[in-house]
Amino acid sequence: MRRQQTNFASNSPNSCLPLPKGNGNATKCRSPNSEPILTSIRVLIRVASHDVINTSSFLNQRLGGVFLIAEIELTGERLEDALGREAIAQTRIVGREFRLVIRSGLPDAGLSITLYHEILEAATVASLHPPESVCDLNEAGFESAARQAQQTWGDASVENLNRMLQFYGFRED
Amino acid sequence: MVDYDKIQFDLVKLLNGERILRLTDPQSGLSLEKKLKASEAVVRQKDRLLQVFEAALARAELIGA
Repeated sequence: MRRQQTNFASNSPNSCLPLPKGNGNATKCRSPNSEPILTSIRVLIRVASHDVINTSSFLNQRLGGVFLIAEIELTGERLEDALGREAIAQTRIVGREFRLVIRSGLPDAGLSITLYHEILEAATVASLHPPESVCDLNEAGFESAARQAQQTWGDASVENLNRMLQFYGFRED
Repeated sequence: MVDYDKIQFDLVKLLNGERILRLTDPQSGLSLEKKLKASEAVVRQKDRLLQVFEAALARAELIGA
């Protein structure tokens, strides 16, 4: 995987919003005709509804009992394969360890679905004898499974990735 | 037969939605990649690529590459 630029970003600049502190943020968002308390609630709802995925929370966590995310990086660099074709994600699998590089700037839902997709497909490829439930999945099948996981369990987290892997039959040997 | 746990697998998702699977033997540096067919199961394509990779690796070792 080649990267053309040199700027690394550990997370999408748009994916983390600061939590409101005291009245400061509420005051900024207050409209002339609304009560301060209502404005504060609106700010909290807006922040809560903006789904933030903290990629560092996945590091060194066990998935499916046997897999491990050893590295995960959101990068602002252009990702390319060996032939110079633009890529949006790469998952490297060595043994039971996964190293993910994902292009930053994806909306949070897109990032979440990408994580579900990469992990399910990586677990499948990493397994010498994967569960039957994934043996017939093609690319569209993995994408569909990832979207279904997003719909069923919400944003990707260690717990939700484990739910998905368990659902598809990945068990600790 | 190569040690499965020592092979490096790279799954690359291209911008156009296509998927590349690359197998690398870190010791010899031998690498083999294939664009996966969208309509066919990933596991079957991986298994076939793995067979070709093992054969190539055995041949490389035979000729001392």
